[in-house]
Amino acid sequence: MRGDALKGHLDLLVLAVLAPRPLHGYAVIEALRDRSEQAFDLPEGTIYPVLHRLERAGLLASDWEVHGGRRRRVYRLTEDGRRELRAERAAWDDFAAAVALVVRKPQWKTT
Amino acid sequence: MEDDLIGEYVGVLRRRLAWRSDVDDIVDEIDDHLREHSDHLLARGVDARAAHQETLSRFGDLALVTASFAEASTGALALPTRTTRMAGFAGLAAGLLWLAAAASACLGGLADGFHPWTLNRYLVWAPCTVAAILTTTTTLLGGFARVGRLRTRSAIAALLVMGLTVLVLTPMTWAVVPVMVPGGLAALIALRGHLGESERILRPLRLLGVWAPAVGLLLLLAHVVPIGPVDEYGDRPYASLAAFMLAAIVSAIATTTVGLSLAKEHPVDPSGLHLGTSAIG
Repeated sequence: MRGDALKGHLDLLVLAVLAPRPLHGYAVIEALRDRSEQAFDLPEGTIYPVLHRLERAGLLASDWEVHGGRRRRVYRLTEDGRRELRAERAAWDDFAAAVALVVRKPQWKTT
Repeated sequence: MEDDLIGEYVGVLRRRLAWRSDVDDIVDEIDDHLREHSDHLLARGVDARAAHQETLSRFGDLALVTASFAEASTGALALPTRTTRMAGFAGLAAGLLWLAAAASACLGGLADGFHPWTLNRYLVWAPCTVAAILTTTTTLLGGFARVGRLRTRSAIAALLVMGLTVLVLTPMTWAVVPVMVPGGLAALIALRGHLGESERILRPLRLLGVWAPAVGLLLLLAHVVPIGPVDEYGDRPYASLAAFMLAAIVSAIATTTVGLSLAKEHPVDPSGLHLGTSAIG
């Protein structure tokens, strides 16, 4: 799936993959790819502005670690981030259910 | 490594993002990402050059990545350009002009005793003040462009108010008040919550937004509070003179600070960035 198709949904996806445990940027990309069964395949470099923006919004926090001699930034959900994720999940469920009602194959009644 | 393509990529990215205050953190984070991906490929037996090429290909080209770091919530690019740099120089000029306006008001006031607002002084003070407001407006314009919010309704409203006030300023000195109150408030509202990475550059513009209504109020109070003698127009010129001095000095500080920040940023050529393909999220 192209990055354009993800526009508007990436915040929710990033919050969702960070919900179980803190991850660094590379692991966020890997988690997105794995959990979508390779469907979400976006240019990896575009994930970082999203992570930074979510951090500025107070939905994520980050800590620096040293890993293999390199500095690594690890992101985690804040309490506000968890609240936002719950709200966005509920909104997404409602939206997806409504879309499914409209676009799924009609069940014609036979008498 | 002889062909350190990742090192070259990161080096160019550092230069292109030099306008960011957190460029070192961004580059370290991206370098870690690229090296980790490359290490995984090397572990699978891919040769070093191919591993770097594959890693960089997956990360995205430099123009895309740079633009994704520069894109504002409005969809415009928020990065330093030649135009914002020129606006910075206008800010420096505005600082000098505000000081000149303050000096002309103060020196004229001392020379003319109880009648500081005389025609001779007005002929020096008014052009300085008009030029100061024009250059301040230009600085604001550059500031909005710098944070990618030039074409928003609130930004246009702020600039329109300031521009229109300049037109009426020359014949009516009291028009300084309307430029301070709505112009300052509109600028404050337009900038509220949208500065992001650029906040360190434009924070003094918020000062401009806060002090302007306050000084406007002070000028209005000068007509009510009995400070100094009353002139033939029923005004209290020393009270309004004090308020203007305060306004001009704070303006000079704010515009000079913003001007310095904008002027010293290395301009980026936005024509090399592919806006529209990076707006993910």
